[in-house]
Amino acid sequence: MEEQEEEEVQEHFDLPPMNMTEYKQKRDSCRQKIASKYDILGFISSGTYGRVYKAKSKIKDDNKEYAIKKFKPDKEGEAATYIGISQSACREIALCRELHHENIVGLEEVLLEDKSIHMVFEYAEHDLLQIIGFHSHPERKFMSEYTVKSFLWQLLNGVAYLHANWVMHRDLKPANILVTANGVVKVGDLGLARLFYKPLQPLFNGDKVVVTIWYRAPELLLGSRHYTKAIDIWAIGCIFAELITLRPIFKGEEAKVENKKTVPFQKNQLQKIFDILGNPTKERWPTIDQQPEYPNLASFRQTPNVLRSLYQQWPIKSEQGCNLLAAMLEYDPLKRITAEEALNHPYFQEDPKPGLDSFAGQPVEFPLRRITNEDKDMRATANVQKTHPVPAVKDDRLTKRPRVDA
Amino acid sequence: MAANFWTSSHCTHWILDRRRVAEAMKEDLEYVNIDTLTKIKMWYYGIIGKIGKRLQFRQQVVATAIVYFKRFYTKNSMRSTDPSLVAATCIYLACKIEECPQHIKHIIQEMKHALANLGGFDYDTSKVAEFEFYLLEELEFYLIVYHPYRDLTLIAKDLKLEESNLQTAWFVLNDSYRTDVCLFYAPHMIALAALYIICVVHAEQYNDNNNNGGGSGRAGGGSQNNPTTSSSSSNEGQGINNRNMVQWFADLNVDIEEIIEITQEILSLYSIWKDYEEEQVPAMMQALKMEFDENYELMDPQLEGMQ
Ligand SMILES: Nc1ncnc2c1ncn2[C@@H]1O[C@H](COP(=O)(O)OP(=O)(O)OP(=O)(O)O)[C@@H](O)[C@H]1O
Ligand SMILES: [Mg+2]
Repeated sequence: MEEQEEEEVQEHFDLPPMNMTEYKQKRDSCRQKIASKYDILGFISSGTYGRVYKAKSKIKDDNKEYAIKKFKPDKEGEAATYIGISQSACREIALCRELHHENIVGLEEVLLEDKSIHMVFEYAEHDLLQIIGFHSHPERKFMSEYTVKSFLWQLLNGVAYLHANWVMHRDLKPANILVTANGVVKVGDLGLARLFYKPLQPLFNGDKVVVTIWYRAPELLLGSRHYTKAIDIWAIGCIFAELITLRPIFKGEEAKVENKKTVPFQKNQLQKIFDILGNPTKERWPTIDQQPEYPNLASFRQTPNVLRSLYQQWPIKSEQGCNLLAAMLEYDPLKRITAEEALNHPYFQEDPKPGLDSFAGQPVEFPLRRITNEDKDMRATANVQKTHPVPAVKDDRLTKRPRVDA
Repeated sequence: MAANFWTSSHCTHWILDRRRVAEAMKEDLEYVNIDTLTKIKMWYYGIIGKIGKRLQFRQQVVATAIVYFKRFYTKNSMRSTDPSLVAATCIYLACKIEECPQHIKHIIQEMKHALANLGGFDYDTSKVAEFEFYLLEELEFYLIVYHPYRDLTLIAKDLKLEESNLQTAWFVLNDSYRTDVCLFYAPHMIALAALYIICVVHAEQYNDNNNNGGGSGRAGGGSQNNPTTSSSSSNEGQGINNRNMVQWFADLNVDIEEIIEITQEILSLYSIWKDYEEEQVPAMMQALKMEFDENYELMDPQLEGMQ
């Protein structure tokens, strides 16, 4: 046989044309239809990357509900040809498939149909945006300290798990923090999350902008290329404040991207931060002068740090709560508290102690996540404009998404 | 996960039973023998490596792509699929997962270049993108792969291993991707085996070679497909105290048998590699892809059944 091959080497080779039809048919025929496994109960929301539906398993013993996230078919132009799965979908699948934690939204399975990826998640009845929105009604009250503390502790618990696994979330904001009907926090939307332990690749690489602007850490706003998991903690600090006051603590306006090459300087957002925390100084943040946008800081007016006096006016009175908030909103990412440290902060030793059911003992009944009857066959593909049927309050956060994907 | 191999999908789903892998090769082995099949696969790993080099990927990206390729072929035969499409798609997906996304067109272009004298590469963007779905499914959507490089670096630090030895061990790891060890063993075990090869096996070879004056392995002959280690082994063994290393391995709290199995598997690669000529691959592929009717009579009844 060897010899025969030797002779043939000289010839011109035409392999029999390979078509994978047979292979594909074989695979296609054993793929289960989504409709055979799940009943679609309704449409929840359409986001940046696709549409989310509420579903129930057809399996008799499985009474759980699910949220099926159908990624937009990746198509170029109008013709529905494949152009490859987005980086964001890849990340979300890769990470969710590995992560298993009480406070991280669980991925049940991934299904392929209709040229699209469908991620089947455990269902969460609420999210922090909806809950904050609900409480913001003029006739309603602030959240109880127990509820705020439980949300915060569970959120930190989920993020501590991510960080221990070298995963940065990079897009923590109320809309992405889900809460089950039993008051359990489930960190969701890992579309921007990524592993940060591979030392060879700069994290800056590719995606220029991460984190919705109101929750974006000062080092990102100052153009840092070496950002760390501390950016998630900053976002949690912002969310903590928002849970207490029901308003975003740093509600800046985003400077729009003018051309793709330069990232705009987010002056307004920084000003909102300085208005409360005072200007960052070399004492507070020794390496601040190494930030790319440092020269721009000269143009800001001098303001004092008023966080503590502001906090005094808020409904939660705990001084330890203020200490924890200040530790999460530390300018210097190296000094900022870590998720693990935050979990052990004295604030959580104080009464009321956080619980596993954040709603326990609360008189409020949150409305269920609204679903609509449109598109129950999951067929809608046109670029439907974003619809978030959930919060009754008008909230411009829903349309603000500074995500720029790689 | 990332912090803990033991809870990762790599550990819980993708450390495989040899029987399963053998099962997947059955069909191919009706057409070519095991050495030939190994060489064909080596050729594709080489293609992935070459493209990685041309596009300046980190080694880890290449390694992930190769692992995807291998995982795919633990469920399918080479004969019934087109390995060039599989390879291209593995590269495309690995780039995304390893956070160095490449435009699909780039990869297609490189594939065309690399396969110029083996049937070319006749797939466009939409075909590769379509196949990505199949690949994801075959991988069961488990995309994060652990590699032994990190373990090696950590152990090397611990051992205060000389830079040149670390380098050689690193090359052994590169070579290990031409074998199936990454399907059967945990990455840290493979890293240990690489160390074992350079510290124990090669050190012994070094002594032997000194006694009989011969070089070991196949001399490095320019092709990037050559095993990097065997060519350099004769002088690399020098810095390591063989006896200390034997003791060090003995003191480890790991299954030394397993390390030796991995070592043997990697060393046997080098012996196959010795008589691997890239020019033979087209003929091998032709044998593998031989039409049914050119085959033995054995196939006939089945063929009739199909018509
Ligand atoms: N597990 C879930 N249970 C219930 N609802 C969910 C679940 N996951 C997502 N949703 C709903 O769908 C919305 C969009 O989901 P997600 O954030 O994962 O997608 P996205 O495409 O990133 O959307 P966006 O651009 O709004 O962030 C969420 O804000 C939430 O309202
Ligand atoms: Mg979201």
